[in-house]
Amino acid sequence: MNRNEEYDSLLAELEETPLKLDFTLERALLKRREHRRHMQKTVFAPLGTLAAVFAVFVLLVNISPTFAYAAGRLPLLRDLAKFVAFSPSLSEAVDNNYVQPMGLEQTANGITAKVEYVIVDQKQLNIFYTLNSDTYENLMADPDISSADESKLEGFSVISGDPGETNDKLRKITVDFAQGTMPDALTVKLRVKKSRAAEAENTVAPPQESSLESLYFPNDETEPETIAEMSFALKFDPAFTDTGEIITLDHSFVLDGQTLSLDSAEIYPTHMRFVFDDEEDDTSWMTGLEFYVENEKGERFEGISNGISGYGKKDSPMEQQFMLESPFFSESKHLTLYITGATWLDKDMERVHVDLKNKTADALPEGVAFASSEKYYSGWLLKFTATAFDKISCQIWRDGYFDAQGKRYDFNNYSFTSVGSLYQEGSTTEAAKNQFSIWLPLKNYPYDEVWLCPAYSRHVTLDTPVIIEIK
Amino acid sequence: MNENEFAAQVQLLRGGLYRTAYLYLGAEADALDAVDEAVYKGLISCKKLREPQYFATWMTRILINECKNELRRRKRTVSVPELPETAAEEFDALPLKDAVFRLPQDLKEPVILRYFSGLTTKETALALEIPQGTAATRLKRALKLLRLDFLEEDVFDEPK
Repeated sequence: MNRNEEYDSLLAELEETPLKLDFTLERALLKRREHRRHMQKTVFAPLGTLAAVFAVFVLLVNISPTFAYAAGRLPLLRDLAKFVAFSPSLSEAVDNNYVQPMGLEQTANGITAKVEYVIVDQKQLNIFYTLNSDTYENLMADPDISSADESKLEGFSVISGDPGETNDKLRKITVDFAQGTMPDALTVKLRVKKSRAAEAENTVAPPQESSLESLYFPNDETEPETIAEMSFALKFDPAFTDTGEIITLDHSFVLDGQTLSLDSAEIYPTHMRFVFDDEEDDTSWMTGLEFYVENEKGERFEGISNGISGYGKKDSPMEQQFMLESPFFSESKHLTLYITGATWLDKDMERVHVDLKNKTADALPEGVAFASSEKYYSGWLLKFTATAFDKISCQIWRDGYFDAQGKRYDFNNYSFTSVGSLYQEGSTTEAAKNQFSIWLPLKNYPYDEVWLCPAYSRHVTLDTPVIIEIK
Repeated sequence: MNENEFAAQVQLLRGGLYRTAYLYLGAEADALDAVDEAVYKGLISCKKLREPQYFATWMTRILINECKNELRRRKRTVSVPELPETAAEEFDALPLKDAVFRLPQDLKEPVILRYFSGLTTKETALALEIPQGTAATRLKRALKLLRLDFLEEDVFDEPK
């Protein structure tokens, strides 16, 4: 074989790529999600605070002097409008000048942070800020939220999806109160770090073993060092923090044989939320809901897909609050909720026993099969195949697993393929087109049996939607 | 470039990225790791890519940095040394894959990108941040060492 023939042969050989390459994007998405999840902190206040807030009120916010100020600075909001373009609710807020300019600036260790704007209402705060430095290209910031006097604040979630932006680009922090309402002022401390990606480019990492072992049982990543800290006192215009409409419904209904109540619908500029409750006699917990809201003009408002989408009930697997895009600026006279499907966790499946050695489980969620379990030096790697409800991969296990003594362990990570991957891998059944795989590593787990917590038992798509008039 | 565009483009490019990393590093597992890391870094910074026509060269540049990081790591352990350009006989004795792997780095990079990853000579030059004429000269020197008999236009025109 001469060199040119050898070249053709080598090209043909290289056309055969390893199967693992097909999921490189999924692994990147998973890694990013893990990084973002690390940024999210949820603290729940004691129950009961919500029950006190059942008045119905609407404030006419467009007479606020802050609105006039925002409108006067309208050209400066163009960057904000562009930034929120993928959020229907926040876009509407900007279009309606529902923005409080802040103009706060601090410099520490050569890094300047500017809190430019906030979009805030009775339940949710969105802080828009920039970081700028002559020394660093890609910075990220971890936010700490506390009350105005810097004492501990409870009952909120924080999302800061900041993987490291370039200088002067807007970034967002979302603070959402599951219970309680927005205070008139609070403190946000930014702990500024070099982004993980920027740090990786500048350092030589130690050698790593490349195998399933290192993929699913990675060494714990160390946090990048904090290089600057800035603390901002945010004071909100009460015209914003009072804005919201709470509609008390206390509407009891039966969904797929379970009795639920829709306690309230809450309409804020940043989002709309429904608060449900269940009954002790129900045989299943509701863990997911498919729904939309429509107004008299035929405009639809769907569930939030990028951000905080709901809250679980305290000490229960039930998903209690569901968030959706806001009809606040739509001038809707009537709103109707359509429930088209639900996901349930049967109460006798809160925890299921899994025999790792013999690859059997006492019960599995509907459409889920136990594909394999392999022992690694530091634990087990489990593989399941599952059927997707709606063409997308979903979580099939809740966080946390237990040993025979009832000791809880937490997952460090897990990964799943996109729907249809089994079909692409060669399974030719029609069902494989709707299936995906999920790998679950049980790190540092030496035992041969485990108790896992299913995220659901079954899913139902309703032939006839449940329809509830909201207003 | 938004994330959906990134996802679509990376699915098309992943085979080329893998071939680049494989020939650069010589091992499947290392190549997959380098591609994974490059795709992750591309994902978190794709919004900065303002001209999508440069996606292939941009991703290739990220990947090459990952491969270089891996080679730096290996220098601490075991590595197969490059052969100098004067070692024509040694190159002749090696299978093509090994010969490419042991080319001097300034010749190996353009050969992999131009003849195995599907980039044009212009894109190869862009990815390596070198003038197009320099890329062409290095390609000619590399082809001579590898005794690959491609036409002159293969160096300057469309990918083989």
